[in-house]
Amino acid sequence: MADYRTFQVKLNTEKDASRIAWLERQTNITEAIRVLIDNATIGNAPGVPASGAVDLDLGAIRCVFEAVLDERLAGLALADGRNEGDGGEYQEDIELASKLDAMF
Amino acid sequence: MGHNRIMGLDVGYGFVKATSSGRTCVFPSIAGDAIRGDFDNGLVTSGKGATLQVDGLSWFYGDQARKHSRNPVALFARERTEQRDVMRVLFAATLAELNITSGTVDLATGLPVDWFADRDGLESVLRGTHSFKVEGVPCSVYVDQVATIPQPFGSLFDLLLDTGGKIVNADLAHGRVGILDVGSYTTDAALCDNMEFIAKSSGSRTIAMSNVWRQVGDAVRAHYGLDYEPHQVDSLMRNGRTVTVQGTDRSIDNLIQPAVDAVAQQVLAFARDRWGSARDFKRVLLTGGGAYYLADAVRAVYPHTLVLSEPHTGNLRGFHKYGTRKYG
Repeated sequence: MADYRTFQVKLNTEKDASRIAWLERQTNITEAIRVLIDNATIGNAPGVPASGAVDLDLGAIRCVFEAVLDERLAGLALADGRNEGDGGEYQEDIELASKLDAMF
Repeated sequence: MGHNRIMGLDVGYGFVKATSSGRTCVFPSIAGDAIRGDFDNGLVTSGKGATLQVDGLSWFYGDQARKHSRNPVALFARERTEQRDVMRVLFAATLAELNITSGTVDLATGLPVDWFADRDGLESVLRGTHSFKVEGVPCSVYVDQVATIPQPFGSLFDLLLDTGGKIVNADLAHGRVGILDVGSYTTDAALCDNMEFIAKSSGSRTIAMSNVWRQVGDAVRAHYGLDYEPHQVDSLMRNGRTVTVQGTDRSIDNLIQPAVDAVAQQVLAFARDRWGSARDFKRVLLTGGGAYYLADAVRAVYPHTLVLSEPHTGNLRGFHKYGTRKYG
């Protein structure tokens, strides 16, 4: 009996919106990922050995699978801004900040 | 400014939720008389914070009040600013639950959109010194500053701000964002257009999860001859979705879905009334405890919907972030 591997990947709902939209249009995510990997590593990559002994971009694969889990299968946990930007150097948009502060 | 403890407070009709310094508490919005004989004689085993003394009277709150008080009082409709005593007890309970027993607090809280005009009354109840006893131990907490915002904006701010209160999701601030907040007893719709609150496209309705609980309760009674209170139905729906009938577990899944569908249609009719198709919205945010059940229905009408993570505390997290921005 075949073994299966599962991956957890994560995409940003704002920055990766187009990638998420593409994924959501797929009717069979697993097959879509297979095609993507084949295209990236075998079919279209010059110099890749036909044996398939290639360096897979596991990070990219992880991203796609996490998108599947986060955005499609889990369904509910789409938005979570609890820790974004915490602790980092970040300059606020001054106009935006003043609008927010004057809001209520 | 900047030295007081920051607290987020969400006093809903179903549940009181509060958070501060990494601690969060959630309990039913019910307070009631603590019968002295009961807890003094050990007939009731009180957990931490289960009995409070406020203004010389002894109180249970949350589930303890529901189970043991002779006259439990729940917050309903618009009375939260009129039931000063109950509000003060519930607030003292949140302080006890969060282990805030002294010092000064600045807090941020919310009101339903249609009742936002009541904010002065709410703030007057919350501001000032709160003296109470937890299991006989005296506590005194001073509430200095209070910020009140329309409840759904808590969820918008949860996404917009980081835990330090800084804007980290500026994309969401540009354009039109609708927030649909399905709570226990009210559903709020709010529109934020380029960081402006648009009152005419916002509002509150008393169509919410309590309608589902009542309908499911009626169906369970009709099918199985069992009587459940709304809060018990809520618990059934969240835990197993079965009832025990003469020793046999029976699924109530088939009774839940029609009730959810009916309320979803009413909530969406309300949203359409305020927003129309919302095609020009950047996002629709779905939040509140009802989001767990209504997500699919809302997405079917508004495909650009984002459902908040842990939506039942989405507003609360945003209140705390907003309070941190304003007072931290």
